[in-house]
Amino acid sequence: MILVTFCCRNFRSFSELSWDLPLGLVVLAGPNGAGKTNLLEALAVFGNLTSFRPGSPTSWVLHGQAAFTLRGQLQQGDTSLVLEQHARLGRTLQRTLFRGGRQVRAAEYLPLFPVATLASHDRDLIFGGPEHRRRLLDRLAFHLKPQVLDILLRYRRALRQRNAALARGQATSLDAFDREMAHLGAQLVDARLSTLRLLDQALEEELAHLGWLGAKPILRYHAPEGPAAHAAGGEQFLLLQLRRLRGQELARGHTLVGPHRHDLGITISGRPAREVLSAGQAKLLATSLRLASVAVTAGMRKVAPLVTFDDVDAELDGAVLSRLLPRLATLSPQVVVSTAHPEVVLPSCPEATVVCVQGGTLAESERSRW
Amino acid sequence: MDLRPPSLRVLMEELQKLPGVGPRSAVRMVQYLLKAREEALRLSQALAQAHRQVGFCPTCFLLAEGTCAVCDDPGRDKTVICVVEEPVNAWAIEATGEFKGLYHVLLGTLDPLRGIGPEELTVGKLVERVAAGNVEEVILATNLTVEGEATAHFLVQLLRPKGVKTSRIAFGLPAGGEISYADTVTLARALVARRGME
Ligand SMILES: Nc1ncnc2c1ncn2[C@@H]1O[C@H](COP(=O)(O)OP(=O)(O)O)[C@@H](O)[C@H]1O
Ligand SMILES: [Mg+2]
Ligand SMILES: [Zn+2]
Repeated sequence: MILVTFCCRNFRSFSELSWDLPLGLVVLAGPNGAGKTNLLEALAVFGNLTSFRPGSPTSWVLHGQAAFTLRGQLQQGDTSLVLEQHARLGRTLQRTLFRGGRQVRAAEYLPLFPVATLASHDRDLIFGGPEHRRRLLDRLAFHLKPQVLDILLRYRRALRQRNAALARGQATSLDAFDREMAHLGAQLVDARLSTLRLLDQALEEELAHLGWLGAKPILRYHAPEGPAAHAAGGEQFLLLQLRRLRGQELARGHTLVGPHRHDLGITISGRPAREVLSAGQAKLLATSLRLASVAVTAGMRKVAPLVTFDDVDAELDGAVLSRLLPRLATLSPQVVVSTAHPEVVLPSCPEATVVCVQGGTLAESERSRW
Repeated sequence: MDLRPPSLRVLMEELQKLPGVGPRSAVRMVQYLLKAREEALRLSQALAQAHRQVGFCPTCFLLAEGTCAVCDDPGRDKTVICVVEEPVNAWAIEATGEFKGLYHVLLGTLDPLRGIGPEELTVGKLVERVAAGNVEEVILATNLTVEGEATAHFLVQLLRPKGVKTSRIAFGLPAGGEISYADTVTLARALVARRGME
């Protein structure tokens, strides 16, 4: 779906904003502190219910206000749909979601308008902990197959229950939750593996588009329990491992086996990518991984997701930008990138619309100004 | 200034503790109850009586005045026991008309996060009923939540050595997996299509 109009009220530095989004590539320009990241974050929260910027959701509300609203009108062919999100500040952020005026649960809202968010901390995909790579896989798995959300939530619940049983030393309850964990865990691993196959194919193409030089990065699913955890019969294997490590787990008070500890291994010529890549190369690989997941999502849906890229010129040089921006524009009908240096970015995207962010408002700008 | 007399304030506070009752519906209820004095009186008597007389059936833990109507009925199939989490779940299953056996209410699920293990449930009594002979099949109709599934696994392990057949209601139940939210037809189908569980 295409986002035609986007409105936000009291989100971060925007008290009231209504934006008719152009199609194609949009460059958000403005000095530091202008609100560029805030606006991209509003789009992310609108579509994904979460932000790419770490921090508490309570900080999304404009200071001094108690609530925010995000509203977007989507269009695909002749059908149009209004999505709306109301959030109220309490101890946590209380949210209500609407689809065409009808209140819906998150599981129904989330698949409607996924937003692919690229940003400078994408390098965490290479240098960060396994949780970043798991999140990439799980998100993508969910966009390919919405039931994955249910599996993921149930797995987390079973894990919390099992950890509680471990902490209390309740052996009978442990047995019962072992089964459920192994059952859900195996389903989750399956979903990740089929996602990984698609991601792997797409990655090769994206690396070529961005001009990757040198040896090809290899993606491999990694389970500390051993490769049998992700072969056929994974459920039985996980169950056996849970039983085998029970003693250690009781001593440590948490679960040591299962997909919550698995990783997406990235190697280059047999060595971990994080050990051999420069910062610039790592950023390029991370960006390619993100592009690959956009390409995979696009292949499954009629229309590719909206893509945002915060501080697009940070760490990527002009040569990469001149390949990246046209590639983004081919992948998705709507791409919004931000930069504090439009003079660096604009030469790479002659077709882009330039929008200036300033003081909580947006203004389309003449390219010639830059 | 709060214009409500103290006894009404207490009544409204109590009403608001009920599920689904907010301040506005509490006001409406109080307004209604004060006008319809007869009905208000009947309500308070019904409530007091229910509390005095209703307890759990000593055998199956359905809500009952003494022994429940199911346990008392000689026409019920005493070889099958359907295990549920709460009495309301049994009501939903009974409404399908598909089930002619006996019930057993666990009064909860395994829930380590809340410190609830088998001892906090009516599991001991279930084992006793099965051990007394006669029972051929135990249908596990706990909710399809993580806790309900885990509890079903636990009961299978517990009951299998006793030589009784265990089965689980079939899937296809609504999101969230609470059997009381399922419509009667779906629930009837889930019962008929139950599967043996190892
Ligand atoms: N909840 C909020 N309420 C009001 N202002 C906020 C809120 N959160 C962030 N800001 C302000 O937004 C500005 C940062 O905007 P940001 O989008 O990060 O800028 P940039 O254009 O550099 O990406 C800061 O001035 C900050 O004080
Ligand atoms: Mg920024
Ligand atoms: Zn009874």
